[in-house]
This record gives sequence, structure tokens and C-alpha cells, in this order.
Amino acid sequence: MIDAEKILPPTQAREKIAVAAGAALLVAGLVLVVAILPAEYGVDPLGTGAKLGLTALSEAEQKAAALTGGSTVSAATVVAAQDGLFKQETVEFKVGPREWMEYKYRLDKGEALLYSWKTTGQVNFEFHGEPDGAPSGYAETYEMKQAATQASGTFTAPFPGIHGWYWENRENREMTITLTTAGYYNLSHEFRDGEAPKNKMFK
Amino acid sequence: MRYVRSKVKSQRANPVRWLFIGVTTVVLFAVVLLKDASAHGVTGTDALFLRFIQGVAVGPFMYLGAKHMVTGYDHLAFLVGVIFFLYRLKDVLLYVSLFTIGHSLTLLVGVLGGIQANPYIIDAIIGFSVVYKAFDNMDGFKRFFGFQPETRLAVLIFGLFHGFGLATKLQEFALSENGLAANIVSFNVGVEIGQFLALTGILIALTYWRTRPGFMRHAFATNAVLMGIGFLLVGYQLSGYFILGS
Repeated sequence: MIDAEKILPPTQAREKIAVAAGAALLVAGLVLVVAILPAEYGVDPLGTGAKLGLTALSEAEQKAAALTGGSTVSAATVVAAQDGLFKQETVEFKVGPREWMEYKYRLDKGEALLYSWKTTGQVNFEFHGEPDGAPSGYAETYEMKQAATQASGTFTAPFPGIHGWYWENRENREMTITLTTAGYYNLSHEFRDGEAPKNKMFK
Repeated sequence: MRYVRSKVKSQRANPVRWLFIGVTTVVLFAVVLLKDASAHGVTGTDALFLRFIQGVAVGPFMYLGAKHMVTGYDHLAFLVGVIFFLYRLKDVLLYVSLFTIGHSLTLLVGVLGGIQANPYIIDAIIGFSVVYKAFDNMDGFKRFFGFQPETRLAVLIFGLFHGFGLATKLQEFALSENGLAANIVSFNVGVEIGQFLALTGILIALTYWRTRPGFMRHAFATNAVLMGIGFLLVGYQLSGYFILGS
């Protein structure tokens, strides 16, 4: 019987501790360079990340960042001349209780849109854009709010894609969303649950 | 309190043991990587929630605090190192309380006081805390430096850094001033709840393991693995600092 409150393993020799610490450092360094750096940061000094297919992980993140294009509007786009016709529309959407819908415009990078919408009841909404070339469903969120009834503003697309709103009816009765926009768009899409998308061409 | 070195001579180092160390480290971190890569940040829908929350939200912040601690591998690794050789519940509670005081202080002061620190550097220090504790468990300080640093003080001080790590994660979000104090306190309470849950699991596993003869034989190697994990954390965070900046 050992009469003690604390039992510890025998203390090892200095050399043994040093070797263990060195081995730990070595293994950690190896794992970092072989797998973690390529996967997380795209840094692949030994080329192992490419062989293991890990660089694809960091590339996906870089691609997503590239698609959304750093979002700084340079001085050159203070004026963005447009060849197309000036378009305006006011549309009304009826949304059933607890249902959702989406309405978005196809816009190029730097293309501007003026918008103003209001609803007859409370909505949750998300103003977002899906970049061209991104995986399906991927979107950049511009604005997201719960329990809103209106929003107005101007928008400049940071990347080419479809940009617009997701609205969700929070209430138990049907509501109407009225959206007024002005811009140089040529195409809009309307998405509703369980329905085929409705596309609208503007001439 | 009497400390008794076990009379069992440990086995001589052999290649199999180093292989075991290496493979375990790799497997453990493969598991970590397979999770959401920034499991130590706040991500996804939680991030969205934090961005838009207005006012007091005790429940959600408490939950986020608990979730953050339970998935915070660096915090848990340090705790494992701390309680590795603590056999009495009294000691476990003492050391964990010191850790808690440390991280609560800096979490609250950090977020409410707006103290900015580079998250990569802080997380690297947290990784170093794991290395430190593992080295301590291997009796490295006595062997190499001839003295044992005050363990309780070390846990308290490293706790301060762990708290900064928690704070920097939250500071990445421009949290609304509205209700911030109540929300951060709720988050802190959640962290303690998460810590309690995680510790219970760890203690159960450790207590069982301590009943096996293998515990004494493998304690040294296990702490070497823990040190490897600490080095991995340090390397990962420092790489982030140099590659991505602040």
C-alpha cells in the first residue's frame, strides 16, 4: 500500500524528456507542413498538399473570395456608362401566410440599382447576391433583417451575378410586397417554393 | 502531502512508442481538421446571429458560450494537461477555478473594455500553454531548470490568455452595444457550463484510465502527445499570423 495522496510516474532522465519534446515538435512540424498549411492557407512547400488533394480546400476559399471580387469600388467606377435603355418597374407580389419568395435581377459588376420596397405585413428578409460561377446556392449577404416592413436604397453590384431579395412572411395572413426599382437590368427572376422560376426580360 | 514516485520502472524508449506518439498526434488532428476549419471561431449561422442581434439575448449567448468551450480544442487540451495528475476532486476544483477566474476576467474586460489583441498571437500563446503544461507534466522543469514553477499561478496566468482568446473571437463581430454587458456575462456563464460538461467527460475517462496499469506506463508518452498537439496549435496560429496577417 502506498500512503500518499498523489502518485506520479517516475521522473525521466533529461535526455528522454528532450527526445520526447523534440519528437513532438518534429511530428507537429511535419503535420503542419504536409497537411495543415496546404489545406488551410494554400501554402505547400513540399508539394504534398497537391498530392493529397488538400490544396483544393484552400483554393475553394480563394475562389469564393475572387468571385466576390474584393468589393472595393475603384475611382474609375464613379461613373459607369450604360448602353442599354433606362428601365423602371413597380411589381406587386402576394405571399401566403408563412411562405417565402425571392426576386432578383441579373446585374454586372459595377452596375447600379435603385430600389424601394414595402410590405403590408412583417417580413424577414435577406438582400444578397449569387456570383456567376459559384456553386449553386452560394450567396453573399448584403443586408439581413428580421421583422421589417420596408427598405430603400441604392445598390452597386460587387460582382456579376443575380442580386436581390429573399422575403419571408412572418404572419398568418397573406401579404403584398410592392417593389419599385430603376436601373439598366435586362433580366429578373422570381423564385417561389415548389414552383418553377419565372424569368422576365426587359426590352 | 507526500508525493511518492512509483517504484515501477518505465520501459525503455523504443521506436514503437514514438510511432504511437506520431500516429496519435496525426489522427487527433485529422479529426480536428475534418470539422469545420474554423471550429475555434464563431461561424456560419452563429456568426449571422451575432452580427444582427439587438438587445439582450441571455439564452442564445449562454448557448454560444457553452458551444464555444466544448468545441474549443485548445482550451480543452490545456485543461486535460492541468488535471492529468490531479487525483482529488478538491484539487481539480481549485485548479479549474483558478483557470475560470483567469479567463472570465479577460473575457469580460477584453470585450467590454474593447481591448484589441491579435487573435493569432493570442491563440498561439494558448497553444503554448498546452506545450508548457505537458512539459510540466513530464517533470521537465525539475529536470532542466531545477525548480518547479508555481503551478497554480501558471494556470491562473494562462487562464488570462485563454480568456483573451475567447474575447478576440467575439470582438470580430461588431456586437451591438445594446445589452452587451448582459450578453457577455451570459456568454461567460455558458463558457463555464461548457467547461463543466467537458471536464466531467474528461474526468470520467481519466479516472477510469487511472485504474488501469497502463496509465503510469503511458503517462509520459501521453503528455508527449499533448505537447505535440500544443506545437501544432502554435504552428497553425503563427502560420495564420504570418500568412494572413491580423
